[in-house]
Amino acid sequence: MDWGALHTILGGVNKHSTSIGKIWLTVLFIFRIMILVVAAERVWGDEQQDFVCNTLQPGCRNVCYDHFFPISHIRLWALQLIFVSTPALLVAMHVAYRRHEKKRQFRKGDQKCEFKDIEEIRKQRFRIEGSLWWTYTGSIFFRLVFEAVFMYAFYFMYDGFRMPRLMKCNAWPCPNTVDCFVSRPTEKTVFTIFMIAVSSICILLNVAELCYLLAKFFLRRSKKAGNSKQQPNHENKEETKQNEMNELISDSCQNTVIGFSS
Amino acid sequence: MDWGTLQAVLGGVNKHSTSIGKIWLTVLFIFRIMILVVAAERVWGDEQQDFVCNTLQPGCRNVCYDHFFPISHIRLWALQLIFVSTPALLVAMHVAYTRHEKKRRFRNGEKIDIEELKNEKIHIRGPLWWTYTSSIFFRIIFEAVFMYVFYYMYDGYQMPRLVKCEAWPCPNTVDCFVSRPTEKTTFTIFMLAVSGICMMLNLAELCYLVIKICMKESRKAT
Repeated sequence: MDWGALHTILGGVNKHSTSIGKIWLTVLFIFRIMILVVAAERVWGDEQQDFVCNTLQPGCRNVCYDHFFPISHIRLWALQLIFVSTPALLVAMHVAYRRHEKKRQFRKGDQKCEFKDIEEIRKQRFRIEGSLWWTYTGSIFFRLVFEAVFMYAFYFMYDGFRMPRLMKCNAWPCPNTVDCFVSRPTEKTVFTIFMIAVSSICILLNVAELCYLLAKFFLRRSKKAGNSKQQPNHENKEETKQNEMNELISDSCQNTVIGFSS
Repeated sequence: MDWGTLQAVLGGVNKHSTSIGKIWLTVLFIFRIMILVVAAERVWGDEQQDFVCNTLQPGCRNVCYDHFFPISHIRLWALQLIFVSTPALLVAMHVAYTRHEKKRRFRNGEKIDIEELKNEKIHIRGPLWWTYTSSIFFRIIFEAVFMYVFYYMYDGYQMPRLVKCEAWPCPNTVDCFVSRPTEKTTFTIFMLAVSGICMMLNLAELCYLVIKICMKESRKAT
């Protein structure tokens, strides 16, 4: 179970995402997970080995390293990426549940089910409306919260996003104050800033997607409200259709037909 | 999620590229990514461990290493390859969007065969031409920027055998010795040369696309 497996799982969610969601997923995999695996893990690979303190006191180096790096950047990023990817699984579960329901309907022989066979049900792409809209929007909201929480945790834990070259350590058993030198501080600072920047881009994409979904929702509601004002009685669908066609013939009002068919 | 996955993602773009684009992709994967993974990473593997300074002062080696190698060559190449590959995804997204639109029109009743749609090779015309051309343009920009960054950061493309370090806490001036400098210089020049070849291929592709569109315009005019 590694990043590749996560890629497979989330790839399935991609089908039911909006365009912004697909861009977000691409940015996540290529600019965050791939950079983490291919580059950042090597940079932080020797972080404790090459953390050098100017003392002969045994145990001082260990204690100082632990004091200044309670959780390594790499591990925090791995946790962040996992938490941020997970809400998409809610959407996947909801879609799987709907498919299961449709398959059940199909097997029962329900006439309402419009699919010809099970294969079609499996391949169907669900539109983001109704309860799926709420699940999808909730997942984006949680993504935003997780991103923000982790960015704050980084900032709080490491007093900013810069990796210092030198740290002065007082922890026992170090004698008095000891100078400790971090391995590759500049490279680490560069990668930290890069990952923060991409995190921010992902937050912006999520905010944009949230706004897009809300706008879509309100537009749909206002369209429905507009339709219901013109046709208050929807009990007889065919009668309504006929009325619509008559209106089209008499008024050449194209908008009404489009509103009905959508 | 590693280079193999990137290859899978970009392999899909290959279908809609020009011939020069396909050659570029092959050069990228075989002469750059593969060389990076199988050879260069081993050469730079022990770069900090075997970076030796002529001093007993603790911390001096760390500080000197950090001073002379702010970002390791390997990481710069990895970033370069990722940035250079990414514009191709714009093309993939555009193609996916075009297909999606055609499927929508099919569902609305227009007569298009769905199987044909999936296998269709979309020609590089109209808005796709602009997306494709700008992706090549961005590729060239990224290549040039990274080549310049390399030159600027390391004062040329040669790896020195000895670097003289004066950063605190090193006492006075300390001699530090780089691990495998000749091998590193060889690989740096190799990667630079292949970068140059990729840039030539991109320029050639750009010229080809521009000439194609100009010829089409002149044919339409006549």
